[in-house]
Amino acid sequence: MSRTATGLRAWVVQRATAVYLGLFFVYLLVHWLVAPPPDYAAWRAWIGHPLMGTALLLFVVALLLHAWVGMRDILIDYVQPTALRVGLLAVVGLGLIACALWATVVLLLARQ
Amino acid sequence: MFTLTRNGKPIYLNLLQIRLPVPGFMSILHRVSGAFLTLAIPLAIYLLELSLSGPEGYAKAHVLLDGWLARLVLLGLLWALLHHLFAGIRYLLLDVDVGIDKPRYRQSAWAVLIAAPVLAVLLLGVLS
Repeated sequence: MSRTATGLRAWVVQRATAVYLGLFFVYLLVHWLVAPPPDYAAWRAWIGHPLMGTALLLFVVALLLHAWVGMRDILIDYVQPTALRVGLLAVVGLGLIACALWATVVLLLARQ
Repeated sequence: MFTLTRNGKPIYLNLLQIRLPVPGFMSILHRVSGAFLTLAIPLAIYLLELSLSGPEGYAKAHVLLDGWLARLVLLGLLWALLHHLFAGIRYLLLDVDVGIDKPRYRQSAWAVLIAAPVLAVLLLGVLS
């Protein structure tokens, strides 16, 4: 996609990830309401299930992209000094990448 | 005072001085809740890692979530999640031209503003 279309790309990414994140959060909340895991073994079995693991890894990617687009919009609107803006964007970007890697390791270790 | 864009149009973003209509207020809270949720990501991963580390870690995660301060933070995060979710659904519907007319978009903004805190309190009561 051309440079001038990055705004459109961000717009599409934000909405596509939003749909997945929304559906997944509703699933989590409903599951937690209907059948909360009673103990460690059940919790581990739920999170460690291959299907859940895949869905969660996809969730991590979607969350990283969604949070990045959103935080980028906020910082670009409200932080005017260039150095501060670039610095904060870097902190948020690197922080999100670090979180995504950390979450991936946690999820891969939990796999059964 | 406000800054100007490159083609001379004013940008005025001082939230303390703008009197926002209800949908605008809801929209700002969509951003606030989004930023709040982003800050909670490392906290959530830490709890996930702890709870999956073994029966002791699982018990420790439960203890960490049990205090009144943790409950308060959870309530705040639950509100942020629900507000962001409802406002997000509202935006997705507006994108496909649902509820875009005058009384509707105002009513739906009120609905989001009210439903999120009410449901957050109810959910925290049921979940804990």
